[in-house]
Amino acid sequence: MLAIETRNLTRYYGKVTAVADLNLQVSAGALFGLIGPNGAGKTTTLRMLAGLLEPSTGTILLNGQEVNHNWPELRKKIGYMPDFFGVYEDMLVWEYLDFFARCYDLPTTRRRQVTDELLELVDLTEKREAYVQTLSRGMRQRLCLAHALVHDPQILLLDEPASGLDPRARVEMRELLRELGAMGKTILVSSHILSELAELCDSVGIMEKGQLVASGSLAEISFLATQGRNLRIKSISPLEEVKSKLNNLVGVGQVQDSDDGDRKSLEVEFQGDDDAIANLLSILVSQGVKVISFIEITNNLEEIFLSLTKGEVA
Amino acid sequence: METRELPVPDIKRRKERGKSVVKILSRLPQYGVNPIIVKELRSRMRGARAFVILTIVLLLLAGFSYLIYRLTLAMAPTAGTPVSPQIGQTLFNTLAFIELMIVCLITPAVTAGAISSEREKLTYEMLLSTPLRPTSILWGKLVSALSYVFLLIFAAVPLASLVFTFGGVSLRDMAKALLVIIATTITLGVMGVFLSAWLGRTARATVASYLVVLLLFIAPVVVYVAVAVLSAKASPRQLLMPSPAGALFSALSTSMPYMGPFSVFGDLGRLMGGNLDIVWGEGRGIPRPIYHYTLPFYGGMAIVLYLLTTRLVQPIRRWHLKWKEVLFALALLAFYSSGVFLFFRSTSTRYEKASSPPPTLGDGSGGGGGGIFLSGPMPAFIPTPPAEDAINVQSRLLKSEDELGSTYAAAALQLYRGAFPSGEPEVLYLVETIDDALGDITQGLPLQGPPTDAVVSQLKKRASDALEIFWIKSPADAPNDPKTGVLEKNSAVIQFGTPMIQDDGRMLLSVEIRFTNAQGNGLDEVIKTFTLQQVNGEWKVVEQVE
Repeated sequence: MLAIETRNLTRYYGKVTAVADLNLQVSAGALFGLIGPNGAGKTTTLRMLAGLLEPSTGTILLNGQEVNHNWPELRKKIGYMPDFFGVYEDMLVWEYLDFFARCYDLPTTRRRQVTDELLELVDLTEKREAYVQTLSRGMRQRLCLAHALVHDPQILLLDEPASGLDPRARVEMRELLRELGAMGKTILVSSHILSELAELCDSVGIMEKGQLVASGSLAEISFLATQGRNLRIKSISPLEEVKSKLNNLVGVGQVQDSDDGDRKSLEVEFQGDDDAIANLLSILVSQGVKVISFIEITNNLEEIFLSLTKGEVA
Repeated sequence: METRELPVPDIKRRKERGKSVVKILSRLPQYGVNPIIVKELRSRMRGARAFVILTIVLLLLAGFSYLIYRLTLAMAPTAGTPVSPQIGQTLFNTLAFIELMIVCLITPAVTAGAISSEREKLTYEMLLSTPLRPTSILWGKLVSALSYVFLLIFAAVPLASLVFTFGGVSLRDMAKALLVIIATTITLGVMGVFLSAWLGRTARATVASYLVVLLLFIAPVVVYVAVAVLSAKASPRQLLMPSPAGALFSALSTSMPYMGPFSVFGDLGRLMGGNLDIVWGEGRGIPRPIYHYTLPFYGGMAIVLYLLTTRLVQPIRRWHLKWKEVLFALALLAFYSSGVFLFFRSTSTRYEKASSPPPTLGDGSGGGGGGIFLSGPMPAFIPTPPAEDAINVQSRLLKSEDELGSTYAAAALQLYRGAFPSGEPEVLYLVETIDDALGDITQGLPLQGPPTDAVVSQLKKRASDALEIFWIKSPADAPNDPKTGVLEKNSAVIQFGTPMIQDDGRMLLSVEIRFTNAQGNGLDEVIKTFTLQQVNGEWKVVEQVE
C-alpha cells in the first residue's frame, strides 16, 4: 500500500518551475530518502505534502485518500519537520511540546504522558525545565522532531533533519530515525547529504530540477544508474596513446580524462564480468602501457547520484 | 533493536462523538483553552517584565493624579464654583486621556508582531501544519495580546475611582470613557494583527500601525479644519469620527472642566465635537455626540479587518472563498449594520428627532454676557457662532427664566434639607455669580448663572414664603453673629456651580452649603452634585452624583 503518492505534482513560483510533473510513490512503512542538490524542489515537495503550499497542478494522495478540503483531518496523520525552523522564546522545553500537544487537541492527562515519553525518546529528559532558546542546535533539531510526533502520526515528513549537525549529533539523529522506522512509520526524509541516506533509507528518490530522476530501492537505482562498471586507470604512458589503445578494445565504452589526485588518470566505462576486467588489464600491459593503478570505482550513492544528475546539471 | 511504544492518540474517542452538534461546537475556538492563548500568556507573563510595566504605568498615573490634584487646588478660582468637583473632573479627564494614550501606544506594539513574528522566527509553518485552524491562531493571538492591554486598563480603574471622592463625575461618565477606550483597544488590536499578517514583517507592521494611530488622531482634525476653512462655515462634526481623542472627549464632554488650569480639556472637548453643537446646533434637538459615530465605525472596521485577516493567515487557498464563508461574512456585516441602525433609530428621539420648543427667552438671561461662548485658547479658524444661538440653546431646554430658576431652587432645596442641621434654615444667603467669572465662561455648557429673581421666587414657592433669601457678592459678605463670630445659627450660605447639560438632556449642577457647625465655633461645608431632570414639566433632582 502506498502511504504517499503524488500524481503529476507541479508547482510554479512565478515563471520558475520548482516541481515539475512529480510522480512520487512511497509505500507504507518505508524509510524513503529524497535526495537532490539544493534547489531541486525537495522542500517545495515536502511543503506541498504537508499542506503548507498549494500545488499549481496535480494531486496528492495520502494513504490512498486524495487531498483537497480534508486538510484538518489529514494533518492529524502527518508529522512535519521543516528544514529551517525557529523556537519560541521564553518557553520551557516541556511547554513547547505541551503547546503542540494542545494544538493536536490531546486531553490533559495524555499531554503530560506524551511530553514525557517524547522527551525520553529524543533524549532530552534532563532538559525538561530548560528554556528552549538555550538548547544546542542538535537538541533543537531533536526537539523539533519530537514536536512532529506528539500526535503519533503515521507519516513523517522530515526536511533535512540532519543539516547543520556535527557528526555525533548526526549519528544520533540517524539512530532516532531508524528507531522511528522500526515503529512502522512511513518516513520521508530529504537531504542533500547522500551518505546520510545511503545507510539509512531502504528506498530513495533522486530529484533534480523539480523532477524525479530515479526512484526505487537502493539496489534498483544502483543497477539503473550504472550501465556497466567504471574503472580508473593511472598510467605513466602518454594518456592519448592509452586512450586510443583502450578504444580499440572490446567492451570499452566512453573514456574520459579524470583530474583528481596528483596524476592524470582515465575513467573508463566498461561492460563485462570480472574475467573481462582481468583480461583488459593484461592486454593493456601486454601492449606496453605502463599501468601504475587500475581500480574499479564502487558505486556508492554519491556516484549514482552524480551519474544520474550529470547530464541535466550540465 | 529496542523499540519504544509511542503514545496512541484517542482516535476512537473522537470518532464516537455525535456528528452535527458536536462538529459545530468543535469549531468554536477549541474544546479547552485556545493553545495559542496558553502559549502566549505563558511567555508574556513570565518573569518580571509584564508586572514591571504594569507597576510603572500605575505609578505614572498615580503621580500624575497627585500633580493634577495639587495644581487644580492651587489654581482654582477663589469664587464661583466649588473646587472639589473641578478636581474630580480634571483628574478624571486627564486620567482617561492618559489611559487612551497608553492604549494607543501599547496596543500596536503587542499586536503588530502577532503573525509576522511567527513567520520571522520560522515557527508559523509548524503551527500551520497542526490541525489548529488559522482562525484559532488569529483569535488566540488577538485575545492574548489584548488581554494584556485590558489588564493595564482595568488595573487603572480603581485609581480612577478616586475621582468619585471628589465628585463632579458620574458612574455613567466613567462607563462611557471605558467604553471608548476599550473599543479603541479592540480596533487597534485587530488592525495591528491585520497589518502583521498582511505586511509579514514585524518592523513594517509596527511602523504601519503607529502611522495609522497617528493618522487617526491627526487626520480627522486636519480635514475638519480644512473643510471649515475652505467652506467658511462649520464642518460636519462627523468628520471627527475616526479620532479616538474625539470620541473620548465627546463622551466626556459633560464632565469637562470649563475653568481652572486644565480647561484646555474643555476646549479640546469642544473642538473634538463634544457639546460644541449644543451651542452651534442645527437648531433642533441635541446633536449626537461624536462617539456615537466612532464606536460603530470602529466596530465595522474591526469586523472587516478581522474577516480580511482570517484570509491572510491561511497558508493555502487564501482567496479561494467558499460560498459558506462569503455568506457568513455578509451575514455578520448585515447583522452588525442592522444593530447599529436599530441603535441609532432607538436613540434618535433623544437626538435628531428631539422635539424642541421655539425660542422664547430672547431678552437676555440671568446677567450672563451672552455673546461670548468661547474663552481660552480657542483657535481662530472656527467660525464664531451667531450670538442668539446661546439663547436658543437654553430655550431649547428651559423655556423661561422661571424654569432655569427652578433648577437652582430644586438643587438648593435638596442640599439644605439633607445637610442643614435643622433641615430648614430661616435665612439663606445665595452667592451671586460674578459675571466675569461665570457669565462668560460657558465652555462645554451653554447655561449662564442663575436668574436671581427666578431662583428666589422658585425657592419660596417650593420651601416656604417665610424663608428669607438674600443675594450676596461673596460668601464672606454673609453677616456673622456678633457673639460667636460665625454665621448665625439659623442661616446658611449657598453657592451654585454652573449647570451643565448632558447629552441625554439631563442637567448636572453642583451646590455648596456653609453653615455654623454644632460646636458653634466654625463653619461646616457640604458640596453635592445633582443630576436634574424635567419631570412633568418641573425640574427635579433625580440623582446625586457620587
